[in-house]
Amino acid sequence: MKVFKTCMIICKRRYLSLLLYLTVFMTLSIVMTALHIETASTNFSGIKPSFTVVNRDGDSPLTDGLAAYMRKHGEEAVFEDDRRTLQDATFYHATDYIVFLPPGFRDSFLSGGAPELETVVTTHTARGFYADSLVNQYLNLARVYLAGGGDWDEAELVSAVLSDLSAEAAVEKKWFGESAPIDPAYLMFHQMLSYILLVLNILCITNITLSFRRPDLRMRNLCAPIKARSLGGQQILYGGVIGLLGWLLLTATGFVMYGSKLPGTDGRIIALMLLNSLVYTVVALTFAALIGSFARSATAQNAAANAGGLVLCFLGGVFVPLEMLGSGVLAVARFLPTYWYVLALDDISALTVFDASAMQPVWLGMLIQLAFAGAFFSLSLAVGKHQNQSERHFSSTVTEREA
Amino acid sequence: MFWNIYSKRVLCGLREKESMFWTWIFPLLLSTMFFFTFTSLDTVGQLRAFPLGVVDDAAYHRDAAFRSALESVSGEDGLFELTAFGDAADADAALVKGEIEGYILAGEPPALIVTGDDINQTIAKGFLDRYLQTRNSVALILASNPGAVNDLPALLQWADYTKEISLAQNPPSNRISYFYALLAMVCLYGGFQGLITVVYLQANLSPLGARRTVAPLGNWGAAVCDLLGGLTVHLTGVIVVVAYIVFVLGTDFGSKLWLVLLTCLAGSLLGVAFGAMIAAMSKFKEQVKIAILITFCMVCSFLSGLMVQGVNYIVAEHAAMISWLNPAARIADSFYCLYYYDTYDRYLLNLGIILAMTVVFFTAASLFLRRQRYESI
Repeated sequence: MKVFKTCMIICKRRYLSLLLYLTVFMTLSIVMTALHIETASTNFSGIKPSFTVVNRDGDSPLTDGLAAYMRKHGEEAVFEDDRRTLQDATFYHATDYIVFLPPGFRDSFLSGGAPELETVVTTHTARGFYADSLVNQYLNLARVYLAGGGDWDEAELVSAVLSDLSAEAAVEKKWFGESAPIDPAYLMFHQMLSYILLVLNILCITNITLSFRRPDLRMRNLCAPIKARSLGGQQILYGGVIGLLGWLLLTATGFVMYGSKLPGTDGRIIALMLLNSLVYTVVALTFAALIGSFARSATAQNAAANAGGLVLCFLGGVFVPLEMLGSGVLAVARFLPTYWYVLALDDISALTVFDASAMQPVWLGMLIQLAFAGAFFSLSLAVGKHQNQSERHFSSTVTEREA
Repeated sequence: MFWNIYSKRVLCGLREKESMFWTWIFPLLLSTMFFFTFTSLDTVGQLRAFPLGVVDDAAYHRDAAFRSALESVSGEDGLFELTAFGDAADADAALVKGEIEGYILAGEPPALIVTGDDINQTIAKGFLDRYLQTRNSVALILASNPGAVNDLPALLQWADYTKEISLAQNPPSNRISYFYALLAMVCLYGGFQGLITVVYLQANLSPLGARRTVAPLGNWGAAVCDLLGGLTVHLTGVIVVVAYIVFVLGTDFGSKLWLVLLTCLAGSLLGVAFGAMIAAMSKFKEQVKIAILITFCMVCSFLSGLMVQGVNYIVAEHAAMISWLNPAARIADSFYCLYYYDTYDRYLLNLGIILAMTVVFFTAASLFLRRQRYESI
């Protein structure tokens, strides 16, 4: 097991850079997970759009009532009445909806007029539409009371309108599964896991291949009393051990971070998610072996890890949800293992029953990933064999000596 | 002499594989990925009709007013693509399959059955709320003033009090800020050229530096020629990336493209100055200096919104000083000002800060580089 031990020693010597990568990626994925996630709940809570009321008319029961009603159904974002501040807030989605109450609004409305309120809606979003419908509903009900006759005091009118607006339809949120749905943050973590696993495995494997492919070392190993099969086998064993250790470490991190949110979730769903990530680890290892066949320098190694990881993860739907990718990108994505990993993960998280027909897409996703792994591994073996038989791949010996 | 050193430095820069990858290939690759994956980023969350079910039972048949209200907001230009189901079990089955976002059970009061909390479900609930509230108000008014029954059609006429306006010359875009942050990162990667320039000049860091130290040209002359060569190589890469993003990917940078290029020049100068300072101020190995440079660029880029849109805004709101001192945020903000604002004051302020930082970095680098003597190499 000398080769295996050597591989471990090489890996150990580079642990600092690996640790740096691991820490950076973990931090990024945790931040991204935290920023993208809304908590899962078994009760209907609805969406509360953020809104801003810019009151240029001064406080009055009518305007206060509008703001109070909006606060009940949305999150108020307060900004000063400054064009640039409001421009920034709109561009960066600090508010979904801004409504300007113009000077004279109250008097005009109460005297039966129809003052026009200017609004800013962030790129016609559904959230903006919902906030806009709240403003119109409030003013329309007030108009109905005013038009319906009766001598209304402003405060009484607002009180009557707010009282009517408190009536709400009943909403039942159903969950058809046998257990609680999977926590979205844990799901997101598993999605990000594919990027970390890929880059980490590429770095760990190419560290070894870079060393073992040095021409002088290769020639020395080829004439050493060790069979090529044993040499390759021990390197594969190293890959398996490193891949498993990385997977275990990341899985444990997931449990430490999100374990408190998992009780109540069906254990079979968690087990399937772990199995899916284990299958993906095999894909990442074989992809790393293929990259390792080509990478000849630390520069190429870093470039391949970053470029390969980003392409696979962007196009495969790791960073951006699959439904947001265009049909053309999706057609290309089908030829990437990350796409099948994410698809299987989505299918697993949506499982409510575990019969054969429900499980079929999950198994299919995993099988296709294994097929990718087989293809990558075969390719790396073929490339390795070609390089062993090619004189060109030993020709840089002189350069090595000079260096 | 100038042309001799300058042209050699440009050739060296073009042959430096690592910096070429990070300043040419990596941004082109990343911008292509942004283009393909963020295509629908600006249309996500837009209002579209969504599938909603209704249980077509006796209660639904009895309530003609509710039926009419629901049908008036359904259809091609409406809020809902309405599907009627014979009973709740059929609607449940469609809900499980994801064919509908929810379904309505008519009754007193009508109820909404959903599986999620998203905006579509919220809009469906908003419709039911509105129906209930309007009905209650009209009932109350008629109870207190039965004569108002004649005005019922006018009472129920929905008035639209709001009018949408735009606050800026160009529409807000989710996609474009990712490209701004990417360009800011590429500008900062000019640090590679600054770093290599100093490594080529320092006798203790490279054999080339040792040879040049004894060459009949002063430190300053060599440094200026080299830095200009490095800047040329880097700026060419930045221009290629901008041209690719604007003309090949078709991303709209607004009408002030020359000012965008001016910002790239200022940003690249800042990047080169920073790289030179990092290389000059420490005695670490070249690889460690590169690691420091990349880490610095990544942190600055993250805070300028490269990975998550809007991070720059959050930082500017809660830690304004960090935002003003972050070179990537200033460069990205300059592009944003050119695209979104109709005035130039904040753009010029950003440009001033970028140039001030450049002067500070170059001054620091020159202070570290001057009068260096080597007792032993």
